[in-house]
Order: sequence, then C-alpha cells, then structure tokens
Amino acid sequence: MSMYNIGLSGLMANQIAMNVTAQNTANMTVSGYTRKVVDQATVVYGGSGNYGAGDGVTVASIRRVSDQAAINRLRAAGEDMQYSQTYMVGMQGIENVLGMEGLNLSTGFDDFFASLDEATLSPESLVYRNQVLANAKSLASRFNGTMSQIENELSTLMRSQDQAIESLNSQLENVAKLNEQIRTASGQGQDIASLQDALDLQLNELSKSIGLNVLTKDDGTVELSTKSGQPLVSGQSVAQVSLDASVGGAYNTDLVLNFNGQSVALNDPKGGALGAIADLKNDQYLPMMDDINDIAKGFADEVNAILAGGKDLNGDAGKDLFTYDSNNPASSLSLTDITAEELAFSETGSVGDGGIATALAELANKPIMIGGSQQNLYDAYAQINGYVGIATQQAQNNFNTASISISEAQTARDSISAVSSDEEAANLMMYMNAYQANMKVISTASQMFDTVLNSF
Amino acid sequence: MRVTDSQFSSMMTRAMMGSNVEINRVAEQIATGNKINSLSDDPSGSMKLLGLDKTISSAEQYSRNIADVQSKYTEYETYLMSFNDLTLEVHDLLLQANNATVSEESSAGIIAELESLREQAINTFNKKSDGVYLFSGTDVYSQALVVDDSTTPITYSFGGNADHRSTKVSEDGTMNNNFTAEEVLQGSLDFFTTLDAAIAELKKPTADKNDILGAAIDSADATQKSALNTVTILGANFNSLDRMAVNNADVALYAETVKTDINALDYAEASVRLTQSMTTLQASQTVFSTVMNSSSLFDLM
Repeated sequence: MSMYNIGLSGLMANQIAMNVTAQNTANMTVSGYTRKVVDQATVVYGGSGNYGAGDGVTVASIRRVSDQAAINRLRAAGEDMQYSQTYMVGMQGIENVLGMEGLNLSTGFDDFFASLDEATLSPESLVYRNQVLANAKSLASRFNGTMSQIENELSTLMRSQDQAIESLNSQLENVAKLNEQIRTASGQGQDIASLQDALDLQLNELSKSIGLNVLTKDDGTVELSTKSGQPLVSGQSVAQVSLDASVGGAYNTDLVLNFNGQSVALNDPKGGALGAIADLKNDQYLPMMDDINDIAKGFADEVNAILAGGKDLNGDAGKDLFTYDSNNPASSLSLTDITAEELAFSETGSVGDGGIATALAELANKPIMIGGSQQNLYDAYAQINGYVGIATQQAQNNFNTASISISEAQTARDSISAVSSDEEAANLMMYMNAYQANMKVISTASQMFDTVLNSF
Repeated sequence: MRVTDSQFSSMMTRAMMGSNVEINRVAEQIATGNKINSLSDDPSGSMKLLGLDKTISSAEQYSRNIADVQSKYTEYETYLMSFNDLTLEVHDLLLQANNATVSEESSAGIIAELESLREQAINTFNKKSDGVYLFSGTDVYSQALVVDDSTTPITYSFGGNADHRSTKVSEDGTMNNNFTAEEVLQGSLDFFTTLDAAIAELKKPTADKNDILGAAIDSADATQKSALNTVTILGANFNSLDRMAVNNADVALYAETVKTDINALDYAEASVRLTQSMTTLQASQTVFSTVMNSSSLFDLM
C-alpha cells in the first residue's frame, strides 16, 4: 500500500506547489508582493527493513523569498527620494517666484533710477516727479509681490507638513496594528507572509514622511525609532507627532513627540518629507526672505536719508519717500503720503536744482548698507538669484541621484522578491508534470492491486 | 541575475520617462529660443545674464539721458546764436551811428532799432520753456535778467543764480544740462548799461558821444565773443555727448552679444538633441511593446 501513499503524497505536495504558483501568478502585478516558493522534503519514517523505499514527499514550508537588506535599502532609498523630491519642489517654488518678470526687482530698480535720471533734466517739473513716485510705488509693489509669493510657497509647504504629520500618525497606528496581527498570527502558527508584505509597504510609506530606524524582531514584528533614536513604535506603544504649539507662528516646523504620556521635542535629523520641509524653511526660505528684507530696508533707509538732506519745492526739509514695518520690510514697503512737490530733489534749496535726485540716481552704481555690509543693490539681488539657482540645481541633482538609487534598490528587491511569469509558467509545467506522474503512480498501484485481485 | 516582470516594465517606464523629460526640455528651449529657462539651468549663466541686463538697461537709459540733454542744448543753441547775431547787429549799428555823417532821420531809425534789439536781448535771457526760465540757473522761477526801469539810468541785475543742473550720461559721468545768463555774459551786464548810455547819447548827443559809443561798441564786441564762447562750449559738450552715445550703444551691443553667447539656443544642436531623444523614445517604446506582446511561456502550455 505504500505505493498508493507515496503517490498520494506526491500528488498533494505538487498540488500545494501549484497553488503557490497560482498565488504568485495572480499577484504578479501587486506592488510589494513577495513571491513564495515551496520547499518540498522527502519523508522517511524508517523501520521498513532493508527494502524500504521511503514514505513519499511533504511540503516542508512555503517560504517568502525576501532579503531584509534589500528591503531596508529600498526603504532608505524611498525616504531619501521623498526628502530630495520635496526639497527640489520647494526650491523650484522659489526659483519660479524669482523668475517671474513682473516681480523682477532689477527691472524695478532700473525703472526707478531711470525716472530719477530724467527728473534731473528739470527737477522742478511735476511730470517727472510724479513719474518718480509712480516708479517708486511699482518698485515697492515688486518687493511686496515677491515676498507674498514666497510666503505663499512657504504656506504651501506648511500645509504639506500638516498632511505629512497626519498621515505619519495614522501610519504609525497602522504599523502598531500590523505588529499586533503578526504577533497573534505567528503565535498561532498561522501564515504571516501577507501581513509582512503589508508591513513592509507600510514602512516604505512611513519613511516618506520621516526617517526611520527599524528593528525587526524574531516574531516578525518591528520596533521603530527616529533617526536620532527617539521611539515611535515599541510593543503596544505608539508615538503621536504634532507641531510644537509652544513655538507658534505661521511657519512652525518644530515637532513634538508624545510617547507613553511624555512629550519631547523631535530631534533632527528628521528625514523624509518632514525633514525636507524643515530644512527648506530654515536653510532656504527664511535666509532668503531675510536677504530680501535687508535689501528693502537698506534701500528705503538710504533713499530716505538722502532725501532728508534736500529741500522740496516749497523750500521745506525733505520728507521720507518710503515707509515700512521693520518686522517685515519687504512685504510692508510702501510710499509715505508724500506728494510730488514734497520730493526733496534740491540740494541747494533752489527749485531747479536736482543735486539730490542725482545723488539718488547714483545709488544704482554704488554700494549701500544692506544687512550690515556694503553692497550694491543689483549685486545683492543677483546674489540671491545665483544662490537660489545653485541650490535648485543642487536639489535637482540630489533628486536625480535619489531616483537612480531608488530604482536600483527597487531592482535589487524585485530581483529577489518579485514574480517572474516565465519562472511561474515553468514551475507550473514542472509541478503539473509531477502531478500527472504521481497520478500515474497511483493508477499503476491500482492496476497492481487489480492484478492481484484478478488472480483469485 | 533573476529578472522579473515588474523589473522589466519599471526599467522601460523609467527609460521612456527619461526620454520624455529630455524632449520636454529641448521643446521648451526651442519654444523660447533660450538655453537658460530657469535659474537652475545654469546658475552662473543666469547671474551673468542679470548683470548684462543691468548693463544694457543702464546704457539705454544713458542714451535716453544724452538725447534729452542734447535736445536741451539745441534749444539753448538757438537762443545763444540769436543773441550772438543780435550783438553783431548792435555792434554794426553803433559803428554806423558813430559816423559823423549820419543824418537826424537815420539816427532816429538807428535808435529805434537799437531799442528793439535791447528788448530782444533782454527777452532772450528771460526765455521760458515749460514755465521755467531757461537762463536763471537752478532758481528757475526767477527771471534771469532783472530790469529795474524805475531808476535812471536803468539798472540791470542777474535774477537767478549761476548754478548748473547735471544729468547722468555715463556710469561715472554727468553733464550740465543748462546755461546761465551769468555764464553767457561772463558776469558782466555792461552790454546793457553801455547800450542804454549809447542810446541816451544818440537821442541827445554831447561832446562825449565818441567815447560813450566807443565803450558800447567795445562792450558789444566783448559780449559777442563771450556768447560765441558759450556756444563753442555747448558745441564741444554736444560732440562729447555724441561720442558717449556711441560708446553706450557699443556697450549695449557688446552686452547683447555676450548675452546671445550665453543664452541663445543653437537650433541645429537642439534639433539634433530632439531627434536623438525622440529616436531613443521610439526605440524604448518598440522594445517595450515587442517584449510585452511576445509570447510568454504561459502561451505555450
């Protein structure tokens, strides 16, 4: 009877193998699916004497073909990719603002200084003076516009930060749930393969928001911490991430981590989208806004100071042309209620003298005090442009590198874990052949049995 | 190495994406005609472009300023030349009047003509343009020449000042855009006082007639020379403005040329790149669809 049983075991083992092949084939296009292979093992109970053929075959395990190193590499590449993508998009935002023709400060300065040059021809003429006022106004609105566009970009970043925090928290919850399911399932000896796939995918998503340290335990569950080692998921405990309300302000990127009832500041480096947003704000947006504010303040102060040394058409001492709020000079830069007559273009007091207008026009070519150092207006603005250009180019290069690195990591992971349809087809043929062969074995055993029966 | 289905399709998708990115980039360059379409395309090039734009716009502004100053000069030149002619006429009339053979009638004609010329001379210096006095320096609302006819003889004084207004005509140079009465007359009002004395003498000749008319003739002579001198300065300034305008045009042209070198797209090179990328894309698409449509082992079962 052992021939029946051996054949049957082969039949069953190959049936299971075909089920696995079917499962692999069915999930061929599922992203993150890890292929499975069947490990078959020969069964020998022993004790059948010298002529024992053995006791057939069994499925020792259905193995998930994965390599933790490849998975970790893919996750790290994903985090890096998200960081550099967010950073690049943020830089392109600033770059676009600076590239807008209507916001070009250089052109604004050109127009302002040109109107002053023209005013030197007849400094007493209200036509020229009104033109100076109009161009000063348009220059101020270029400053306002540039700043408000940059603030828009920054607000957009802050909104994506809110979204990233929200999804981070729900993903952390998901990881904790998956941990729990894996722990339960593996305790009961159930198959945890699909849960592990889900966990890997979840961790990939999670690391887009924030950089992760992942510790995989023997039962398949994970413990998560930030790059600086602060706990995110440990056992049943899950951290909640939120903005640090004590810092406040419109552009807050300080995060706190609430874990087991304790709140601590989330340390740098954060990594992922959240890290990119904080770095963009601190390393790019704020310094650049400071630079533009410095230019606005330096320019307005210098113009007002020069005007103060002159006399207007009524012979009165010069009034300020520009006014601003010192908290945000560029976005608040505007004209005072000065009239065309009150522009103090005269150096000597004679109405036809344009000494002050000439002195103002000369600001185009000489250094003035900008942000604590002597710089030319145009140079200071060009410097911002150059810096943003270089930083954007750098961000694009980083993004390209990260793209290559993630595609290599994906290739490495897929090479190990993804499904190959030809391979599955070959397996299916092989298992089908084996299945049919075992059928033959059983039918042969049956014939042998019949032969024996018929001999009576 | 194990190659899986997903690997193949993601590799091909990436390759096609890469070609599309390049095609998009070339298409943008061709559409704008510029190599640099955002700061990050070439940061140092972008900074140079900003600097060149400044150079060009300054040069254009200086050219406009020069044209404005020259148009003022043309206005001044007209009045100065007419004053010059006028002094010559005064000079000739006085010479004629000083001739002993002049009859009473023609003497009266000369007096009338001299008085008219005197009025014209005063009017010339008190010319207004756009509501302001041309020859009164920076004190543009005051008459350049103040005539007080309540006194005998009439007294003359300069009403404005001798200050100049200057306009920027180059990076580091400015040019005066006005001429003052004091400058033209070299600070002396003798032309008018001696002329008045001569007219009075002609009306009621005395023994000093020759001396008085002689003084007026000398003064008219000197004034004509100094007016001509001012015209000469004006002409010299005008010429140097012309030279500056040419310089500015050269600077702007040079900057434009450099800009073109940095930013202008080489269409031939761009179209080669476009063709290359499109060929690559087509090849990738062909490979992708051929491989995807080729029979898999499943088909053979």
